[in-house]
Amino acid sequence: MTLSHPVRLLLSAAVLVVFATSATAFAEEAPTPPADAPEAQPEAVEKAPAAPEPKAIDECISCHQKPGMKPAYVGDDGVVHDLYVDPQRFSQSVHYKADMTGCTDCHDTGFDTYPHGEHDKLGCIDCHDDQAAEFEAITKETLQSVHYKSDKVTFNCTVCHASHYMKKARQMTLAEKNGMCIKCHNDRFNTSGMTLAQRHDWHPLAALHLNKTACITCHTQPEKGVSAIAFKHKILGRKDASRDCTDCHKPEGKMLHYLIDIGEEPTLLSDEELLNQLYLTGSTRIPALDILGLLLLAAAFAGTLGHGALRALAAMRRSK
Amino acid sequence: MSTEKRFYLVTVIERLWHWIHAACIVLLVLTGFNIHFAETFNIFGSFETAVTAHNIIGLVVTFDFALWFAYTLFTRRYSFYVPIKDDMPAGMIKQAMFYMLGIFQGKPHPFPVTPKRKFNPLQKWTYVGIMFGLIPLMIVTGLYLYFMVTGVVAFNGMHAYVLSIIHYIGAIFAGFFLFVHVYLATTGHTPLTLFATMIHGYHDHEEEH
Repeated sequence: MTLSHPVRLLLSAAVLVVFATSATAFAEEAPTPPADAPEAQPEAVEKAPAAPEPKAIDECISCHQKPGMKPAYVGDDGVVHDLYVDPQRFSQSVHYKADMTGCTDCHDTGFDTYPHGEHDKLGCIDCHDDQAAEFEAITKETLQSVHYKSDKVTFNCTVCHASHYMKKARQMTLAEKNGMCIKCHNDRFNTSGMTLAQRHDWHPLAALHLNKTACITCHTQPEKGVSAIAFKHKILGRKDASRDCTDCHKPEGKMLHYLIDIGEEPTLLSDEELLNQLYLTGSTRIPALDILGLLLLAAAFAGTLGHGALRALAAMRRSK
Repeated sequence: MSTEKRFYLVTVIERLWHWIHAACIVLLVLTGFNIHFAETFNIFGSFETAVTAHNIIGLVVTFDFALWFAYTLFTRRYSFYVPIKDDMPAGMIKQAMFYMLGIFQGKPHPFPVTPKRKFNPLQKWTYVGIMFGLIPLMIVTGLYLYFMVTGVVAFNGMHAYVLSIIHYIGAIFAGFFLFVHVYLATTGHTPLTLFATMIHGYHDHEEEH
C-alpha cells in the first residue's frame, strides 16, 4: 500500500473512537458486576481484577446497552462519542453481519481497566485493505471537505460513520443518512442559531427537500473522473452547495448520481416517482429560453410604455 | 358631438367570457411565473399554492374557452374573425403605419369599428392566432401535463419535457399579448373608452375621431 501521509493519518484516525478516550467503551473485561447488582456501579468494575482475556459481549452491554446510561458525550476533539450501543441497529450493521459480533473483535485492547484506557486505534483499511484504493480516493476528497478544514472537530471516518451502525448506502433509510449530518448540525455546529428549516428557507420547497432528499444531494457536487462514493465525501458549505433547481432537475442533472441517496434505484422508480423526483419543476428550464422570454416581456413593457408616452406627448402638443 | 352613432357591439356572454378570461390569464401568467421561476418569484407564498391555483384556474379557462367557442360558433359571430380583403397585407400595413405615425398626428383609425367590423386587420389576425392557435395550444399542452401528473395518462418524462417547453413559450407569448392588449385598449377616443365598451357593450362611434 502506498498511502500519502495525510491519507495515512486520516485512515489511522478512523478508529473506533469510543475506546480512544476514557469513560467510554465496553466494560469488556469485568470480573463482572455481582449478579445481585444489575446496575453495576463503576466502582464494582474498577475493583475487579484485571482479566485481559476477551470476554463475552454480555459484559460490555451491561453498561453500553443499559437504557439509562448517558448515551454520548462530546470529547475534546469536538466529536460526539457514543456510549450507548443500540443493539437493534448494531445487529443490522455490516460489521455485525460480517460476524464481528463480539465487542473485542474490534476493541481488543484497553477495555480491561476502568476508566477504559487507550486502545490501539483501528483504521478502516486495517481490515478493508482490499479496498485501499477506494479508501484513498475517499480520503482525498474528505481532505477537501469543509469538515476536514474545521478547526473545531478532529475528523475521521467514524465521526460520521459510526462503526456500530455502518450500513451499505442502499440499505440505509433516508433518516439514517441524514442522521449522520443532523447529529451535529441540528444544534452543536449551527452558528446561525436558526433551525434547519429556517436555514433552508430561501428554497421554494424547503420542507419537501429536507424530508425527501439526502443532505449531500446539495452539499456535494459530482466531479469528473471521481467516483460517486468519493466525491460524496467532499462536503461543501452553503456557499458551494447547489442552489439552482436545474442542478438536479434537468435530464442530465446531478440527481442521477444521488438516487441512491434519496432511497431509490432509478430502474425501480414508478412514473409518478420519476415525476416527483426527477422530472420536477425547473427540470424543463432552458436558461437561454428563460432569458429570451424575459427579454420579450421586457420589450413589450418598454415598448407599450414608450409608445404611450409619445402618444401623450403628441396629444399635448396638438391641443396647444 | 353627437352620440347617436352608438351601437351594441359586445354581447353579455362575450363580456362575461372576456372578463373571466382576463382575470384567469393574468393569474395564470403570475402563477406560471411563480412555478417556472420558483426560487426568485414566489409571490403566492408557496410553490404548492401556485401549482394548485394554476391547475384550478387552467381548468376554469378551459371551460371558459369552450363557452366562447360554442357561443361564437352557434351565434355565427365567428364572422368577425373571418379575414376579408381589408385584412390582406395592404390593410395590415395601413394599420401598422397608423400605429407608427397616424396615431401621433391625431389621425382617425383607418378601419373604424362598425357593427360588421369589430377588428382592424392586425387585430383580427392577432385574435385569430390567439383564439384559434395560442389558447387551444396552451389548453392542450396544459391539460396533457395535468393528466400526466394526475395519472390519467401514463407519465412520460420526454413528453412532459417537450410539452412544458412548448407551454412555457406559449406563456411568454400570452404575457406579451397581455401587455400589448391592455395598452392598445387605451387607444380609443379617450384612454378608457374601449374599457367601457367591454363593460356596457356599446361602441361609441365618435371614438373614431
